[in-house]
Amino acid sequence: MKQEELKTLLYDEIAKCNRCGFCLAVCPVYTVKGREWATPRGKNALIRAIIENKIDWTPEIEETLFRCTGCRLCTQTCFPAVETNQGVLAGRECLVDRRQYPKVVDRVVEALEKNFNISGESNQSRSMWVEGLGEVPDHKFQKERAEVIYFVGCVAAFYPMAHKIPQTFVRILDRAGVDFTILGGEEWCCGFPLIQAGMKEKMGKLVEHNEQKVKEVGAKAVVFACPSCYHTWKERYHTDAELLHSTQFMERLIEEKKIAFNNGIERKVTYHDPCDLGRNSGVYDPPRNILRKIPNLHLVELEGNRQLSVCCGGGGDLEMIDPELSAAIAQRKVEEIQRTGADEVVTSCQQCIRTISGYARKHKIKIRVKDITEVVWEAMVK
Amino acid sequence: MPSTMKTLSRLQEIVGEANLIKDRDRLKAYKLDGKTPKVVVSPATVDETSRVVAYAYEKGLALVPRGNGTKMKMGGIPKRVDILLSTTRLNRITDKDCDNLTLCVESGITLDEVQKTLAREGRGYFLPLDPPFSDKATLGGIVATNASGPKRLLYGTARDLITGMKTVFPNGDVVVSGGKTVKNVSGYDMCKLLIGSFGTLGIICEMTFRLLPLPEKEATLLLSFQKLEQADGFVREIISSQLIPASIETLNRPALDYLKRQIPLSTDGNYLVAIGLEGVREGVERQMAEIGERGKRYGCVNAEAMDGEEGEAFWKALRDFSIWSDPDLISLKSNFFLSKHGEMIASYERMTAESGVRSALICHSGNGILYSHLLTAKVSRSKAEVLAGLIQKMTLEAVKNGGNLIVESAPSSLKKRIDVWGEARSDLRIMQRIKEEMDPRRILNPGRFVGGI
Amino acid sequence: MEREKMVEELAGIVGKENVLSSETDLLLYGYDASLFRGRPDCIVLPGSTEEVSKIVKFARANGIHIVARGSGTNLSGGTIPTQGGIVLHFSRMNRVLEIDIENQRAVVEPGIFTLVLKNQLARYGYIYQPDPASEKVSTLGGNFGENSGGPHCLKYGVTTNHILGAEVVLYDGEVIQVGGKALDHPGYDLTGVLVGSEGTLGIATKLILRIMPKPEAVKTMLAIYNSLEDAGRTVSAIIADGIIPATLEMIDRLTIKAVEESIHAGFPLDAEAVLLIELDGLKDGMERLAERIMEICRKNNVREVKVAKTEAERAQLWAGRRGAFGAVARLRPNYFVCDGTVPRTRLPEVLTRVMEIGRRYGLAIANVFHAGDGNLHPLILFDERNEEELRKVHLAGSEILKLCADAGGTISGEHGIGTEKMKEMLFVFNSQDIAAMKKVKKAFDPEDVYNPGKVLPEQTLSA
Repeated sequence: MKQEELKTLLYDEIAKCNRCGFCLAVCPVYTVKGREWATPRGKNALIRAIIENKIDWTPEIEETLFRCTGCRLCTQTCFPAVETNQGVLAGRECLVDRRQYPKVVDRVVEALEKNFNISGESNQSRSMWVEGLGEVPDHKFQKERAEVIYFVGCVAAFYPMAHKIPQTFVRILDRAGVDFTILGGEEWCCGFPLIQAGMKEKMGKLVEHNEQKVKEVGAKAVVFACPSCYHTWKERYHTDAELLHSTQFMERLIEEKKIAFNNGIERKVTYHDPCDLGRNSGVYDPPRNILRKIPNLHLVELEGNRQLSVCCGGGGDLEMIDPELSAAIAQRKVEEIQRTGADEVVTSCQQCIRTISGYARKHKIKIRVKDITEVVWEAMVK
Repeated sequence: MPSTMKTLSRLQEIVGEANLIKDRDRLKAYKLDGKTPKVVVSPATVDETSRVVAYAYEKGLALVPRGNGTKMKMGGIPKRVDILLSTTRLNRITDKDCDNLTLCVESGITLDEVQKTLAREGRGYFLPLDPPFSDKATLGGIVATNASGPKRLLYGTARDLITGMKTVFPNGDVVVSGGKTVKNVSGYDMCKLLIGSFGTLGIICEMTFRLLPLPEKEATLLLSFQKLEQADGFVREIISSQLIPASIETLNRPALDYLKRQIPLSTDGNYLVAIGLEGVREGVERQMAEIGERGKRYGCVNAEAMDGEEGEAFWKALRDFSIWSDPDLISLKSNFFLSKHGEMIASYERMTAESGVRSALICHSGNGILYSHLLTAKVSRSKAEVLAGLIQKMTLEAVKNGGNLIVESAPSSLKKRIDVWGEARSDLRIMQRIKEEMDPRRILNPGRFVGGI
Repeated sequence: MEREKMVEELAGIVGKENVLSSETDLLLYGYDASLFRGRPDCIVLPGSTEEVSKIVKFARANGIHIVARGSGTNLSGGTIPTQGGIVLHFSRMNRVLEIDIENQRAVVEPGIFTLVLKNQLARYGYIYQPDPASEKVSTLGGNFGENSGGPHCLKYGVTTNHILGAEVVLYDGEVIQVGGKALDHPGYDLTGVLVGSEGTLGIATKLILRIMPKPEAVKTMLAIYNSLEDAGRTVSAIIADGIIPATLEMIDRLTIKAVEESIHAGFPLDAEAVLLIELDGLKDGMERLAERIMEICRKNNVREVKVAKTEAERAQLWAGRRGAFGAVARLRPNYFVCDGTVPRTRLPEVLTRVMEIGRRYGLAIANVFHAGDGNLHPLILFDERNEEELRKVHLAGSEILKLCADAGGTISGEHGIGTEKMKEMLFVFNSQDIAAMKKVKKAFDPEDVYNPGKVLPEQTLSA
């Protein structure tokens, strides 16, 4: 993006920021860093200064704009609702245009262009997790035509720690008698990392490919266990198929009595709203409704819940760009979870699980983190 | 130093002959720690006051402000006393605005007079201050010495009630600070600096106070306990509860005995806790019942409820304790952490007993302020030695418990041996700097304040 | 002094990572929530009193100015480095050092958010009363510097009534204690002078606060009016009846519109004004008082009085009030907050004239007031990018303050003088009054190390 375009798109939006500073209190990056550059207010001020030619694209601006989790809690709590994250992403696009961005981004872009996934492995390995399932039907969940496509997402497909999520989710779908398929090597990255990297113009090929697949399969619905894939599809894809997050889909299956719970689970859990599912997509109730349907499960809310949920630290490519900052944000999340006194934290995002449990493991903190699909499956078989 | 004659004639020009005392015999009544002023002047306006002060400043004459003289025993021994400035003719109410709950008065008016006027206004109002000797004490004196009483628990002190002031500064400048509105952050809060400044920074001529509507109901509850631990436990429970008493005072036996000479009391314990309640009727009634119940749980041996005039007589006797109990009274004021309430009373009782001095203790229990009245007859030289030692010990005890000790009244022979303002603290340097900037010639009340200011 | 050398020396005190001096940082620490801009030479984030003391010693020795800063929410330009120098950002000194329930005190570092302390106190059933609308993010150090107010100040007083002592670093680096946990320390009330001195006298590195058991009962009412005058009359009538509620807030139609677009607080869009009235204290008699207040509202033509039934409803009403400033940015990009105070009974007349000023300059004005204590906050709406409009805003703002001063009020109730209102100081004070304040400045900071160019106008008119 060029600077002129930045002005056209965002000058009026950013001008609504009156520097009241209310965003400081909630911004996870400021909470850790305690410096003005980390604040949403500061980011607005910098974008504005750029637009008004008052400052050049300094190295610090690059550092600043690439340190935002995209959680949008600032906008949520901003009375004129300034869309700071839009400014941040547009700013990143300008930086990319100037070839001024963190080198680590290139690795991901390269991987996406070569293999259509973020991992650097061949895209054929996308369904490796199916191996771990034991009893598997002959089609290995890959059918030419199906009612529903389960879009697995790169992280769940390629990172063994997250394999449990697709594994349990297909078990649930299977037991519920859903006619579904996965796309295996034909599933390409949704493009989310490119948006975050300020390179959204590079995602066209990925979007087209995935949209085409939906048509070929003739699916009426695409479901996602990954909130970021879900959010990206909702925002950027054109398809007639219904787009649903796993929590919405499972809630429906429960209503249709296709999922049933028997004895339930005696446990106190808390629920962490992933930013891309909750605040950014507006899905708050389905996960809670599911948890409430499980007999004996007791849900306690976090201090920041629903619209006010605080990011785990893994949002907006932050883990890739600044792992230390990401971990420091995760630390605060872990502390917030501990204060609830829950036995377990449930969420519905593989990235949140990675960030939270990654921090806990590294610091030897005992905390059980589960994806909601795991909890549902546990309650189904018990 | 100008000749006395010249000074007198210049001052006479300003205030008029009738408002100036130069007669030696009459001046004796204004003696301050043995020092007699050369002249007493009573200006009638702020302007006259300003001219008197400006003259003193120009000539480097020491000027001591005075209202009705209820606090002349307080403070250190003055270094010099040339002019005594009486504020008693500055006694007007300049703006009575009950609709806005504000009152502007000159400094020479007595608190009682103000209260009487306010009570008659509309639905009835009052100035929420209840320091000692309210019938005689002038508002200027009360504010300059930051005097307070039992009800400060609910209403605070002058610093919480004053919104504006007009003061004559040492160079004669008439300085306005604050204003009429409760909320005001325009410039430095000079009022805070002047409240309790003991006339060392300026002559307070006019003050604006916040008022309150008279409460619907008032009541007093007296609870007696045999043991200090019982009284202390009870008091601290009330303080940490959601109840909102106006005052909580704890008295020891000698204080109680003296008080009984003044007013009839049926109480017979070793410690008396007096609780003042005021506000909404239902709230007062409920607190009466609940506090009584809580008292029983702490072993209260006798509870007595008072209302109206009976209650008011009790509080007046308590507030004015030091004036009628003993003319040679040595009065000490200690502050301390709230939680050290029991410890402070116990240690002061022990220390005074060890020194063979009877002490009447009266404590603002909810504020952490303890008045110790040492009941001694005339202080001889050897006795002064003992008392100085005792006061030193009591000061250290207060310091240990987070506070300090001020000697509020003592004979000059004792004052010479001690610092009446207690232990110096790290902020003394700035206080001295302020004095230096405001009053470089040290004409206002020299020597009577903290650190020899 | 060369910036590089300055940075190097300061890094020696606080560590390299805690000194900021890039172009970007200098821009970011040049603003606050006011319309003013400045530019520091560098920014330091101290971690302890000792570090602050060393920084100050260094600055003084080299003739460098220091401006202390918390969250930068100041509305009068108090944290703007008008003459360069060091900005001390206190975000690292943000701990609660002690919650001392039995002595009813809290001891905190200056960088802590006001609400963070309050949330911690709530676990003990205790409360720190001052409640500036920005409490979520304002720091207690900032509250100390500005003597912040808030709705509940009507009953409980402002920040100065709740700060009992502080640890203060003087202009030469010496650390002193003023006040303390106990009341009535002998000597001048330095705490009282420092509170509200806008960082020009000393830097507080530790604060001692009064905390109290939270009230037994609270009752929150929303009175809805078809006329602003009726709402104004109700305010005076309530006080005249001898009732002092905990809060008595007023919000006008334009503000209601903005608030309701921002969050659904439950203010009716077709009302001309609403009053937010809260009672607190003992539960006994509260119903009767509430009924009396409602009766007064009815006598003054109230359309409806709604009572918050749950804590959530109450929180929603207050969220609407607290967000009022920010929300008006939905109407125009920017708002300028005036902070005049007048005797309560003069409110209706002053308000009418405020609106006249708005009309004369062609500027829309939204109003939020702490009506109970006569503190007006006319919000002048504009677009900062339009220079002509900005010029008019400053003129209108100044006229409004003159109006307040002439009505027997003052030019700042709670936001401070800062850089914004120095010349308006002369509306309420003459040169002798200001000369007296200058002596205080000189006593504390004879070399003008701290926050230069604030509060006291340089040139004063002759008396």
